[in-house]
Amino acid sequence: MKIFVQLMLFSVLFISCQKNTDLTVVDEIFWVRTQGADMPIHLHGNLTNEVILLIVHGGPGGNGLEYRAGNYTVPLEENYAVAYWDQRGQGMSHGKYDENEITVDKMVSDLEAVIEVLSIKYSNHKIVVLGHSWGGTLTAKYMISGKVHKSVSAWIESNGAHDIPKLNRDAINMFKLVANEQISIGNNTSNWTDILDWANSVDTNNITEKESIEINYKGFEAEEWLTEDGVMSVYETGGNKVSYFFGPVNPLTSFLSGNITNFKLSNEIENTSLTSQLFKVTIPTLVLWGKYDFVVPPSLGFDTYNNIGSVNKEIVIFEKSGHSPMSNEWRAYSDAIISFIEAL
Amino acid sequence: MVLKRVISILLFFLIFKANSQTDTLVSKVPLSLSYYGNMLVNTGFKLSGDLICFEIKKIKIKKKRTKVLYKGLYLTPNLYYYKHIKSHDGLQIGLDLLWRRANSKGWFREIGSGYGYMRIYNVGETYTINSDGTAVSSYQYKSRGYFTENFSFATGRKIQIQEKSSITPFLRFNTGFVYNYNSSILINLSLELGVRFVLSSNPNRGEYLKIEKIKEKKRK
Repeated sequence: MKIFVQLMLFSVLFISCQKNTDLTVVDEIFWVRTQGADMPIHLHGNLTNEVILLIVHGGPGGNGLEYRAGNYTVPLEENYAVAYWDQRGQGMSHGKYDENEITVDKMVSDLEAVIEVLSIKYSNHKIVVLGHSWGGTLTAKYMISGKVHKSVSAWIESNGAHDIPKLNRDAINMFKLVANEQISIGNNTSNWTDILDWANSVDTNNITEKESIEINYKGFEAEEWLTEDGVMSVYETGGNKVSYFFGPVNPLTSFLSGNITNFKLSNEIENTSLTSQLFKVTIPTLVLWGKYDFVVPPSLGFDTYNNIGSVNKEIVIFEKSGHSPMSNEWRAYSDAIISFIEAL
Repeated sequence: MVLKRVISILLFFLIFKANSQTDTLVSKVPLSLSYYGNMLVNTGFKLSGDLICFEIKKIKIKKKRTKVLYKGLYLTPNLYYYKHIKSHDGLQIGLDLLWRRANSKGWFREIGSGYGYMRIYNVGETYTINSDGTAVSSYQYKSRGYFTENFSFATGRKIQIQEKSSITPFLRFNTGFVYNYNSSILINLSLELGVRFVLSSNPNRGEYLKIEKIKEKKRK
């Protein structure tokens, strides 16, 4: 029995002690513990250029590493170190806290903590914060907080949901516009007619939570039809492989934790509207959006571009993309990020 | 991979040892060792011991044959460890109550329930943030503890090696809750594939209640 215990301890220590020291292919994990939560950060890529691209994932209910499983991260990781962070109550984050501590403000504090740790661990590195979808809400709130860390060099907002009431109104109008366009050219007429009827039935001055969920669901459905008809580019698989079942993120844990967090945040998110405060953003900003994003319409991207106080700002609309341009037009997406960061 | 090899070697070692047991082993506490797959895929191992509370032996005498059934209640302290690569390590101690039903051919089914305390060890450094928002120095393998509740179902078959010694391969499915995980609970699933064994070095079982019931089916 002693032999077995010794063998077991030896094997555990052996597995634990492997370390990679090549700074061009960094692969490490570390955690940030704050306000009752332990949140993992997976860092992959090239540290020699002294730029860290922090990915703030969508959802709520997603996880950082699901953003790594795309072609676009290959050129990004060749150039920069990319930090994939699991937010509070999502992915493999764990901890103990009251349900009242699942708020957007708390999560903004978490983002501050993550940036503080990155700035200490990788001092002299530029930090670029990229928020996608729900991550756009979170990063927008951080950028207008007046507490932007001095090491944060730029903000990239990609399809960010920084104003949900406006998002809902604009999405309904976009459904009507695109449905009429597609019907007129004979694409998926039956489906688009149904969508048009539904959109016409929604009172844009009083969009309910149920209708808000429908917008999200129907937005992804509409992307499928547009992809079928060649209006949008198909998702290209490949890139960095992140094992679904055997990787660092257990899909079941992530699914359960993420859904609970999503449920608890949903009321607060539905009323989040940050457009009027975007003028407080002064750091260089890149806005990336898919033209056919019904989930978060491109009008929100133009709002960001038009309202922020930054002098150095740029907007890129991907003509054949939806809510995830990093998947539809991954090369153009990564090129836009790289050229933006190189110009900082 | 290393863990799987070690478990394989150990299973071979146990079978070899069990083959050489003597008749005194009936008084020993059976121990179990199993491959433990947390959330089904994160590899680990589990050690446990079966402390018998009582056993009921039911003999059913029928027209052509006699059927013998064993039912028993066991208290099983257990310890398990698993490694979720590039995420965390988990270590749990627990105490389960098992109700086991076995037939004379050695097949058994078992249901159980119990409580435990699990610590999750973060792989890599953990940076703690002070209340003023500044990060403090990092520590390796920072951990948090959680209370857990477990429900299990197992099946397997006792294989007689000698007259009084045996090994029992089994498969167990566990489901349960990790309490106060984030702001609520986490549903935990795990699969065990292991073997229950008795060695001469195992602790003594001691006295326990044995009930024997004989039921004869009368001819009409």
